[in-house]
Amino acid sequence: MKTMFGIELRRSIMLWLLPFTLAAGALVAWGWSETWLVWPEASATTSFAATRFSVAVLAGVAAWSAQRDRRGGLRDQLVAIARPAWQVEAVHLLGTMAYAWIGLLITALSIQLLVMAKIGPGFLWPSYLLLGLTTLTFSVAVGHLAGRLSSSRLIPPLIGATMLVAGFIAPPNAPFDLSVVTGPAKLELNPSVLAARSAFAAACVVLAITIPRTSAPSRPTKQVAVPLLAGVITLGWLTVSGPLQVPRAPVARPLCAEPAAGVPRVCVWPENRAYLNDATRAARLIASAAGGAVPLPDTYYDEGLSEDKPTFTALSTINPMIADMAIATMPSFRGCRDKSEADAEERATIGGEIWVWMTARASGLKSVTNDSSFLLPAEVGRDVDAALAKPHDKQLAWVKRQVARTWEGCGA
Amino acid sequence: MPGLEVVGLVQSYGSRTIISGLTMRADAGVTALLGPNGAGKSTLLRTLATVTPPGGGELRLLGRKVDSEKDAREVRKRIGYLPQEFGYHPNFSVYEFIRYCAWLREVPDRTAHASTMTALERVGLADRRKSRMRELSGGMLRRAGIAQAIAGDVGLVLLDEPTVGLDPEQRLEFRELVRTLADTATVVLSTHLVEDVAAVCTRLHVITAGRIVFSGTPAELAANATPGTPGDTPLESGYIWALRSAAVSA
Repeated sequence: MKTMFGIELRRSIMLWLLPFTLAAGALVAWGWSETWLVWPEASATTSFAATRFSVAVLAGVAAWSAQRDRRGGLRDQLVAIARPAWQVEAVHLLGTMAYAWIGLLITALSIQLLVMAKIGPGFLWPSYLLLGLTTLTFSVAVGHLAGRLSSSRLIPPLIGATMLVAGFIAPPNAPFDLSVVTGPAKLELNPSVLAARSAFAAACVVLAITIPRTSAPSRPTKQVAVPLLAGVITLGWLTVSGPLQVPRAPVARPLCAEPAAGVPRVCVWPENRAYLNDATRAARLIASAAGGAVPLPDTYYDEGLSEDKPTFTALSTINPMIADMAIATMPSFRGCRDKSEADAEERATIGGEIWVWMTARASGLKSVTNDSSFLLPAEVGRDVDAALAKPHDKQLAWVKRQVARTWEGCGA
Repeated sequence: MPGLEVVGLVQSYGSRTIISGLTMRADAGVTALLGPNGAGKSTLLRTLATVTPPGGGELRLLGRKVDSEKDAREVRKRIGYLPQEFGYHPNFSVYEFIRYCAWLREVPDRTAHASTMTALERVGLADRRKSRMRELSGGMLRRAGIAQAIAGDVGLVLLDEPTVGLDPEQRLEFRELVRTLADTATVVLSTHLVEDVAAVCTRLHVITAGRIVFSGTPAELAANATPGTPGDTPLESGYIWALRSAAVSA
């Protein structure tokens, strides 16, 4: 068996295609390189990079390889064999599958080493690696199955293209989505989905190696029915297994920066340690921009750590965190209740002006109307630009007036 | 113990009967199935190789009655089969492909390498073992086909038109190989070439329209020819006589 596996490995076309799939994965991973600073994001990137394009190549190659017996005219020779057909197919399938797993392993090891070099000891999250593994296993098995069932030359490119398109059009966070684009610390992969995906991938492998070829002289009902039933059951389980990523339970002891006078404290998920310095700097910039005119919260929490406290999303770039913290400072995000819709609308408009002003000040912007990162009503943009054009003390006087109107009834 | 025994074999494709009530046996040595194209030789060999289960009658191979997939799988370990259309994986090396075929036949791992090398040496392909299958000429491919059929502990060798594509020198080598195979196995070969039969076969069955119309030795067949029967050799005349007699009686 070992010798045959070695022969299958040597003669698989994936031996030549693996470097290309690895290169494609490396390009994908490089595109996401800003997120590598933390383990959950690095884990999601690993899964994404190892599967995004390689599923198409692997499924197509598996289909093409599975057709080789018919291409080679081995029909009679393969019927008149002593060895059970599933063993022959299993070794053949494993010859392609091994390259899928090797690709994932190489990608995972590369990203593991890169992240370790950046942020120190730690490990990629196994759940994301399992996600990649199930996706790759499923792709190869489906390709192999398609190749066994049809000898058409269109099948390999068709199955490859189908896998590629499926990766793009699958609804995000659906249980059957091929991969995830990001892996924020506030989310984790749903164990129920992982279990269902693993079972479905295993069922696909069983199907791929046990279902007789369409040209086989006899097709025992049991041999077809049992794996087919297993495939249908596990697919049903997968469909109802819930969203792919689910919120994590908040940790009892988040990682918090040292408190500083006049600056809100910043707390992040322990996994987001690498973002803490920038997040603290963002909080300092916000405090400086507020200049004592805008009431600030005691603490900003990384998203998912607290449900009813001001939150921000810890990232590797500072500007989005500044914007998040500025928004989280607004009274409507701090539990203020409005008496009427008109009150709420007015508070939102004025509050909007304050957060845009604060964001602009903290980010060093002189104008916001020409900045595409703000999606502002023209009136708000005009007001904020007018405020930003004033001397500093007049800006503070303006914002104090706005705060007085916005914080009315909020204990400010 | 005969290498194979067939009693009242029936084989059909759809509503078309190819073989009807055929009875034959083959003992140690080389037995030929001689007949014109379309006589049912390949169908018979496919049945003997357990590719197609019999539509009726009894099949006994290497002393074992074959009437289930389990029986068939057991006897396949010791049956070597070269189909008329020999299939192969073009990107495998010659060694790898023969080893693969031995693996399919469940030749034990501990002997698989030696069996593969022995088979390659016997067909004269040992020095081409590293070549890819796609690089072989037609004659070499036929020899590779024979090698895959004889790798391992084979008790029954079934060769369907084995000399097609071989040049005269290769045919001579092939005949020598078949003679040596017969020392350890029952060899059944189908052919429509009388000279192959004359050169290597100890017994023969003339088959036409799915029926055996003559069984005996090549000498007996040659002796049966009536004066005036066309043919360049006595055996060829005997063969033509057998076919014509069958046509008359039908």
